Amino acid sequence: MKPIDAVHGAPMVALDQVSKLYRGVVAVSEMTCEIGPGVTALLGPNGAGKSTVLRLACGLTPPSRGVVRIHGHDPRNEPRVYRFVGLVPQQERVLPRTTALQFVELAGRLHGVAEPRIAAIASLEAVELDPADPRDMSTYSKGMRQRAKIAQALVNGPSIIVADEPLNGLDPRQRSRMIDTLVALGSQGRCVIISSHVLDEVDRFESRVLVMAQGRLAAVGDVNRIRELMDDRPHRIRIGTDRPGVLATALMATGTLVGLQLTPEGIDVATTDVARFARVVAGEARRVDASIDEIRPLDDDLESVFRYLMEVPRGDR
Amino acid sequence: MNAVSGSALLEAAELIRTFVRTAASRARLVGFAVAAALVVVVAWRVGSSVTVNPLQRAADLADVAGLSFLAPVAALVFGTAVLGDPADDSTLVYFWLRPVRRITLSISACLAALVLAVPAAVIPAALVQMVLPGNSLIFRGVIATTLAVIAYTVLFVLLGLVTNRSLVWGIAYLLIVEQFIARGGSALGSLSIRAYAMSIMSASPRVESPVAYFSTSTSVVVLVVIAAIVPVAVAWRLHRAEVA
Repeated sequence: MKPIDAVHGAPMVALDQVSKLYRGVVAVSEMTCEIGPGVTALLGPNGAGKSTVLRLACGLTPPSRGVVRIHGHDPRNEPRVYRFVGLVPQQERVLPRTTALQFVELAGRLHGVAEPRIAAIASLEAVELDPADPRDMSTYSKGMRQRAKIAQALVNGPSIIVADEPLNGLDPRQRSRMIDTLVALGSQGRCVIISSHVLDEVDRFESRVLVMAQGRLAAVGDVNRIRELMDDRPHRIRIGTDRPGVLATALMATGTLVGLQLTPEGIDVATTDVARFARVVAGEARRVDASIDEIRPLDDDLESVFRYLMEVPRGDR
Repeated sequence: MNAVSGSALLEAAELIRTFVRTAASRARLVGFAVAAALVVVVAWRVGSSVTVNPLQRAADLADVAGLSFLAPVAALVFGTAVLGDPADDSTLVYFWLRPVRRITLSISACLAALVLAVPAAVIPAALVQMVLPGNSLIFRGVIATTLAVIAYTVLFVLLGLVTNRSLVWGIAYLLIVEQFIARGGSALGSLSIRAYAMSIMSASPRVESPVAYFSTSTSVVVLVVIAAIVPVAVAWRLHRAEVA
């Protein structure tokens, strides 16, 4: 197969008004973005459409509407464009009755790498797997299989690396090393696209972040921008107390709340200024002689952030 | 040979090696070895009895043991395994997301399945004829079984790609079309690979078969056309596939 060149000036990966429906259910809705060099993270809760976007971006599935381009080419009609792409799929399964070296060498051979065995050995060593290991990969731990998948994605030195939850199954040291590897690839001018549902994990990639929720692009920015959005939203906090009615009245009077609800478990409050609320709550409890059993955040997770981002009008983001 | 076609050959060789390795589980290989041994032993036992028409007996054994059993079952097991198993367990992506022509993938998968299915069906079919007294059907038996197993195999490679439970669908096809519908006359028999294979086997006037409707030349042409066209359909299906 003759090699294909990138279209001059075209973005490395481009999605234009892309939607994907599965049996009438919208998985991705009108997604438009261009992804270039560096690390870009797709962040969102499970079911947000991250994996579908990655599959669309690679051409593994055709869009129901819209256009996907890799270096200016339609990946569905032009398999030669895959010489630019290395994919680390999410699924754990790898080829049966196959060693890691055979697995990575196959990838190198099919990508037209000049010395596939030498490239495979180098790629396996880069992820700290033994190229001489005679074992079938089905005997590997989850982390070892994940590293073998990463090795096959990198064997041809692709300009675009797509990794669906690449840190899954890795131990802390391997995670750290993998993050360093992907960040280094991004800083070399390669386009590295990862997905994750963990903000702190994404934070370590120092990446541009595309926040997805309910199949839509909810926000774009760096991690600091996403954290600012998190801080802007009202935080919901549950207070367990023996005198909910009295304490609720006292707290309302402080002016730190934007919402309050009495529940069988206590008081659920909403505040945009957690620090100030934390300063006044103990004093108010003492003043009205209420004892506090618990104070806990109700929505200190990404799911609530994504819900919030979906509720904010687009112009305000 | 230019550099491009040379690299395509290397790709195909690597693909065939990989497909063979991934499809050839120990259980499958042992299963077919045992089945082949049983078929040959049964043929030898049957062959030691006296009969007025040894040629008819040879054809019947070739039909029962080879064309109705080992050839379609070996083709089904290995044909659906090469692309069907990767499609089912989401490892097809490791073949699909490569700068490789879909027709190269398709032909490599079909050849890999044939590397496994042809010996599993044809060697026992030849041995069955060899252990029978008056083995004059050995040539026709091998030709018919080989063409049948090739046609079955490419069909089952396609089946593995288009259905989720390809083994179940394949068994249903073999029981309904090849064993039942094929007996319904030449029109319905034209849907049956076994009918064409038995037509090749039964070219002698001393051999009869309820499904031998066609001339030898027609049968050979049809089976060769199936073997040539179906890999193109597999490539088309790969091109349109949604890969997990």
